[in-house]
Amino acid sequence: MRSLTQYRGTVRLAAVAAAGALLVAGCAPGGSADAGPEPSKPATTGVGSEPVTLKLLVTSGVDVPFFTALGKLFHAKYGNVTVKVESQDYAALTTNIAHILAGSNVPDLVRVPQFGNLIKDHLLTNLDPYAKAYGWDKWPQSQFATTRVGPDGKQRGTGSLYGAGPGFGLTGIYYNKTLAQRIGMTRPPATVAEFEQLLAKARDAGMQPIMINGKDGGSVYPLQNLVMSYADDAQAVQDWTYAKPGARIDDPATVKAATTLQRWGHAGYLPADVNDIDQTRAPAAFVKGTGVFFPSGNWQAPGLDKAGAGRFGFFLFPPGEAGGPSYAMTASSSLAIPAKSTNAAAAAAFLDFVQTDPQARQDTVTLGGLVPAGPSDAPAPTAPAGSAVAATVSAFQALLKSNGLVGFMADATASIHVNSLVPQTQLLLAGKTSPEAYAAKVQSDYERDLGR
Amino acid sequence: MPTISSPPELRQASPMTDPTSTSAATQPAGPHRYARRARHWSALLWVAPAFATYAAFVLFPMFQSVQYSFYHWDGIGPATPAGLDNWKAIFTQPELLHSVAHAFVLIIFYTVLPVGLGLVAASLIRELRPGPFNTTARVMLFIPQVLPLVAAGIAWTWMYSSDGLVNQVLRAVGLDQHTRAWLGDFTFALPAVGVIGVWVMLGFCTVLLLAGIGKIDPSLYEAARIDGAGRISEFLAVTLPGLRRELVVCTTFTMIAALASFDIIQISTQGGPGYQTMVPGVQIYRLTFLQQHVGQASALAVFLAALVLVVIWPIQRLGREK
Amino acid sequence: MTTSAIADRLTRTGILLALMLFAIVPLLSMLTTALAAPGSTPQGLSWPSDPHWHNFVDAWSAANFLALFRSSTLIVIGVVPATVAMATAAGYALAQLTVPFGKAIYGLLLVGLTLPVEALITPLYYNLRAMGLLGTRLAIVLPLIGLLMPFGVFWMRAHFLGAEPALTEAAKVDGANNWQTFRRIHLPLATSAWSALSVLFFLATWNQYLLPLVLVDDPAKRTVAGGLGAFQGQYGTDIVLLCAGSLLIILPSLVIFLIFQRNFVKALLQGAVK
Repeated sequence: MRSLTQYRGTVRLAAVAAAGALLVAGCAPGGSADAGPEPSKPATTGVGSEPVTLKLLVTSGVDVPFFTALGKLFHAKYGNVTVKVESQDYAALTTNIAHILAGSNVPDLVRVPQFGNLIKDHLLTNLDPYAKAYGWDKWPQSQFATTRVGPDGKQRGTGSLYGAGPGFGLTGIYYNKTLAQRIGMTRPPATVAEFEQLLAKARDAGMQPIMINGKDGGSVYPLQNLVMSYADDAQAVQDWTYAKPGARIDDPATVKAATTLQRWGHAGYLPADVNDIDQTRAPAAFVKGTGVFFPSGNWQAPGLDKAGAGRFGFFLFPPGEAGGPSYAMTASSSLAIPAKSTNAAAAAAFLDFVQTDPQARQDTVTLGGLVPAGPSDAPAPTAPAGSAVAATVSAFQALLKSNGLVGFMADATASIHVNSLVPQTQLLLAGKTSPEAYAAKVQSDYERDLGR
Repeated sequence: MPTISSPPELRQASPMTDPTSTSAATQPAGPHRYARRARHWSALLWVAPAFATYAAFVLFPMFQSVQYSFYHWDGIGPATPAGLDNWKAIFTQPELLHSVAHAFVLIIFYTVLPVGLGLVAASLIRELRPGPFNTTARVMLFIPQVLPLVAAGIAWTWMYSSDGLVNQVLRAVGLDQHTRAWLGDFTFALPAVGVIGVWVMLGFCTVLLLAGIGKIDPSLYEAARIDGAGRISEFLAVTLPGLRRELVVCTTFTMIAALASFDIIQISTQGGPGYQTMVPGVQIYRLTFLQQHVGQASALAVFLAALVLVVIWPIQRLGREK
Repeated sequence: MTTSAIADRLTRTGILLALMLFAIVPLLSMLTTALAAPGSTPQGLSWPSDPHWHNFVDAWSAANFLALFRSSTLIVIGVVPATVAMATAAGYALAQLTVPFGKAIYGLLLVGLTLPVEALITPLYYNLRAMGLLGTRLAIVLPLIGLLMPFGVFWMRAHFLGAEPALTEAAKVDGANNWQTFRRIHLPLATSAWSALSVLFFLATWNQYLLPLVLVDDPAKRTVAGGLGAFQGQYGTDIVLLCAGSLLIILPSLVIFLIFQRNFVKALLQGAVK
């Protein structure tokens, strides 16, 4: 191999050439200074009669059979529309969404994990005209809060509507009924302290108290729940996830929550290899009897019911004080219409259909495990008594009344989950960072992401 | 006069390599000279396609990376000048700096161990008689090198998992208390990823060094024997100096692989747990596509490219010295 | 033979066997896992009592491997012949002809040997998007040609530097021009060099991961390695299926290597350390 040093003269020449090329290319990269407001497409209802192929891009896993089933229902009603479902795994979709939407092969409906810069860059269609045309604006509006984005493109919970979907996620704690009985749990714990006593009993009985996926962020759920329970209030967290100006997470409640979660790790309440367990391994292990409790979301319910109908129960994360408010994280399984979609009208019709059609709403519960929302007078879908699905649905309805539904901290910015919450929580559980440093770091990353 | 394309040492080895250059140098000025020059320009046509694709898809993007690194840009909207912000961040943001540090740790695994073990394996194979075992050993050691790194990542993720072979072996020999999820463990994740690098690189180094040993003049070994040299001193006095060029190639190749690692990490740990196995390659990918900090990603990318050059340079020099 | 000599010999063979085991065991572990009952979680290395060869068929259809192999083949056809041809021409010219700025050109190409793909991927993405090629196989083919070029030129130039000058002179005397000299004399003699280069480029293309990951969203239009990455994302926990799929992916690389291994290693050494 010839050595590069023999080409010192050449390299010098290359440096000059590089400098020259830079001068030539001296203009800034990027699009025009202002792409202008997104084109306001006329909001028409209905799907017309032309043959249309509606392309859906969702996350792989449970979403695929679920949306495929919804697509078939839609096709049965509107014969000229064929729904084609494609999928990418969650991490890939989170990473690539901006580029998919800006690309040349854009889907007509896309599952949006986080809004990030998508609104600012005019990549999604404003759904306000459709909401008006289809009468969504007459429905309970709290269900649309997570998919409203303000005019600055960052603050959520206010502004125009950019996503709608068949149903809602909900977090809480599943429990293995047999094992829970063995440690003497007769009713869901009323406080965090009571929950911790159960965890200690489970450990002393030689069981794995909690099964959880720390590799891809399942451990962030109990953390957020602890924050809200300790604060006895969810407003601060809600403001934070909605990127309200001035919102902070580095407060005493977060530090206390991080301290507790870290203690759970040290006490052996969490699996020893928690940071290596991902979101498919955790439920598989839980179904096999590893773990008395499994903090996760309602999207796991159909799978758990399928593995053992009636074997698994669900309760909401306990409050800090007895009788205090219960909170849960929720997110609309929101689909957005890319600005570049050529079938926006049919896509909007699909969104209306999945929220209102009785069979679609039933599938949302049975296949998706999600709670359908839609108009307040819509018939409620059914689930078998004693099933995990039924438990999540009733918990959701209770929280809807008590105003206990909060967005996920993971959705605050495009990268806060992957870049900050997941690794920082792993560091916390491994004892590599302190609760104070944890709270401070998450806050500073958040501010950097938002450009504050 | 036109440059001479072959480097000095090779010109010495075969002075007639470049038939046109010596005669051209002595050509008198005149019409003849113009004819020659015309022929030379036509020689550019031979190089043009190769250089054009290279320039379009390697050199030009490299310049663009440099340019992007001075802007804040989300990749879609307008860009704003950033001055040196992105460059400063490399040295002030702990995650970015750590990812660079991890790349250097990986050099131990991608370079030092494979070269060391490769020397051992090569000298062992050398003493074998040519035959099926000899061939099998070479081929077997080389196999990991030809597989996609993605497959290497998947294979070893399985090896390291709770039910994987590593823990199975530990349990079989009664070391149950040492079993763990290796890639999820803060202490062991980076070395574990490194071992995947050893696995991939070992065969390449072995085969290359083995060929180098084959080229060493056997009389040197005999002379060493006569001088009563032991195996170690024979190795130090004959084998190692004789392998200088091969060692340079091995080191260069594996160091670039270590500093620019992406596939294995992306498949096996995605940089976790925490930021324990984060490397510049994965960081650049995330900064560009997840965080949409194209300027920051580009600064890190240019820094990485420069780092590779800076690290490779002295090794290349070493290869030249007598 | 003395006892110590035997012990010495045993130690040496033992070390070598250990290294060989290290190289092969991860693949064996994958094989036994791929043959376990579908959906089960087998141990790292345990031969299943009734091997489920059908897992390979399942993995084949689950990952849509037919489309993946077809796609990879198209990409290889797009990359390898073009790159080898261009690199051969350039290598020949830089070694045997007087190319204006030849030294500078070659020096710039050498820099390319060290440039990591990650340093280019971001601009490549935006350039290919501007060209409207994103999501097509050309988005993988074109950059890959550019990326492989430095090594190709380096390799072929090294070969042509070693060519016998007397041959060129003889051809000149016969009145052959550059092209004829190259075509009739040097190219046939370079067969081993460019065919070895083709094998190397085949592997580099087949195994390419980052470019397809970033530039093509549809796994069915990626290289096999890129598709395998997507497959892992989807079936990451079905370890049996994942191992079966990975082995299917590995197979072509392995077969190509085993067929060509003799010439391959020899050529690799010639080229790398000339």
